[in-house]
Amino acid sequence: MEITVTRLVVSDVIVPSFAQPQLPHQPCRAVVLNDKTVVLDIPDSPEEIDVVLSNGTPTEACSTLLSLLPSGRKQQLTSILTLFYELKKCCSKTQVIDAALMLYGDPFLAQKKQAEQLLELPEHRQNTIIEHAIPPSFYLASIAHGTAAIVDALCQKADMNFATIKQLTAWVREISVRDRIPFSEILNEADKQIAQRNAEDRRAYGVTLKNHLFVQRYPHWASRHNQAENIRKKVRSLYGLSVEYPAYFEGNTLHIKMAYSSEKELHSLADSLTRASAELSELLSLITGEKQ
Amino acid sequence: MKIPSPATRITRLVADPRFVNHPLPHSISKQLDIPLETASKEELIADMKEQPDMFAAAKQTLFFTENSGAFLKRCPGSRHSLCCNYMTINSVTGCPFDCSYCILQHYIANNPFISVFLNREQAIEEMKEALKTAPFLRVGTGELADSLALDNLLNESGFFLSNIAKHPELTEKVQFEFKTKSVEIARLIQIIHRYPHLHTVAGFSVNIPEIQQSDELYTAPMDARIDAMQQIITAGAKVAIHFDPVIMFPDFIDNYRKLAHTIFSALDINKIAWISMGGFRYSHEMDVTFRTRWPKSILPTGEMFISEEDGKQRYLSTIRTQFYRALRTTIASYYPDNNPPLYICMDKPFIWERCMMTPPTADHPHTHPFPLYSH
Repeated sequence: MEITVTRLVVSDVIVPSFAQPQLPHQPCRAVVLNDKTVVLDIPDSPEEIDVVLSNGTPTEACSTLLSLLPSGRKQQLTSILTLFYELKKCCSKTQVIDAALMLYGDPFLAQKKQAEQLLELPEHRQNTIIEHAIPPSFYLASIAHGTAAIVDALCQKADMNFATIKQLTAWVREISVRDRIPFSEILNEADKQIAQRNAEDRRAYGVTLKNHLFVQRYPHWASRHNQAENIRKKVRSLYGLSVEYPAYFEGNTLHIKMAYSSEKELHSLADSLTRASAELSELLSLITGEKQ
Repeated sequence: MKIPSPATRITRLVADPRFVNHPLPHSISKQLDIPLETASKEELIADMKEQPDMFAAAKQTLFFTENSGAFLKRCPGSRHSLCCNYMTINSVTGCPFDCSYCILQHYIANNPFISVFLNREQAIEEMKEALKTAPFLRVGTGELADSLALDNLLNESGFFLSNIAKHPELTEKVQFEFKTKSVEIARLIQIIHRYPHLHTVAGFSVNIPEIQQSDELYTAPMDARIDAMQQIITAGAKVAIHFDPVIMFPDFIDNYRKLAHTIFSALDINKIAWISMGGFRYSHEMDVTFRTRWPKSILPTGEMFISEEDGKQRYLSTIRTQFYRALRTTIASYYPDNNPPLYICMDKPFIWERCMMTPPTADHPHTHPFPLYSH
């Protein structure tokens, strides 16, 4: 079946003539209204765009639509997937890839295999990539490394940006390898502990999950850092002394910051130092590893 | 149990066309009964990329060529770490063993196979040149290769020690280390008997059996390595022991203590030239290699953080301190003066201080067998 796109609606604005679009580099959605009309939903579209397509083959029509989607290297696969996802009722996978090759030319050939793999994915996985703006190459690598199930589960449970999804996927995999327990068990256990608190709020759930997994991934650091922070806060609130220690405890020297503007304040600070000596010693032994 | 020789893993011999008449490739071809092929480095790399498992194919291929750069270099160490003044000679790069943490995997696209440099005579000249300004050289061939794994083919020990013996200035002032994870010591022992007056050291990298079995494929088991150390000492040379990389998970600390006890109770401490310990550390580029080639390795799952100074991931300093102290205490207990010739490889001065391993001073010049310097 051939499709002819005769009208392109961008952010609900219908414009009458063709112009080179200036599109934002972020995922867009192409929605087929019928065999004559495609709505390209571009968030915060900066310009009025006017496109008229007529009597084209599906491949040509796809190619034109792809040209309207973000064209940065990283976005190419997402663009193709997006287009295929929406147009698959009237275009084949081959036609979409042919269109991409027509548009992007030889450099895209290297990605052809990836594009084919992407278009073979089950619908729910294609949807995950589009809805959560996950770079397709990352998702395909996750499949190859056996961690796509983690990505799916994280996307299902919480609202997180890609950087967080990537980080948590790595942590879950590493915990699984280290402790020899399956991914699902790690996530289910986290689920149990978090569920009572804020399961309804997907964003809050994501924040809590991240904290939970961090403690599980770095138990020694999380515990020691927590102890050090508690002492630091105590020294500040009780004695008015500001203590700084090296990042990740990479050093043996702690710094105390003090300020005074009178002899009375100086005596008071000296007194505070004496009274805080137990806490300051404890902090030093935590940082240097004297205290195990 | 007989340990198979790593040389039996070699299945392909290729000579750079410029060196096809060199005798060494032909003698190895005869020894292994494998035909000698001819190809340039570029042709061989292209061919390797066609192999179903490039890593496996590369680790079974010897490529005979020349080193167009310098052989003798200062050990690269690490920025802001305290270094031990070690010099390296890269007469071979690559090795038949397959260790998960090996940095050479990262260079596989440019130099995947085991390269044997046939112009190694140049290394002798470079040592002579270096001694014009340096009072003494501690030098070894184990930075980018295993010094002994293929010694029965390459005769590295025979070549270097016989040349050192020929030159009095080298004989006096060079301490030559062959560092290995193998037990291929037969030829080295012959050479030690032939040149007993040289400062020869056989260095053995050691690790706990769990790690040796999971992350150091085809290397010799620990008991076999300890047996090899004893044979070297009996032959009259010294050994060095390298606890490197130390894998720092809480459950492993007792295993490392046990390993140290096993080694030091089996050896005459007077025949140990030096001992090093280095926590596992790796650079960011290795992340992908771990994920793709070693997805089940626990090595990158420790509590490690990137160091600002050199961009390498290291264990949290308190964990490093705990492991180094445990090893130091165990090793020191075998030394009557409680002062083993021990150093920490590629770590920072504050870690030395925490482990009560103060670098040598004018008052205590013999704390270490060699001078240290800050990178």
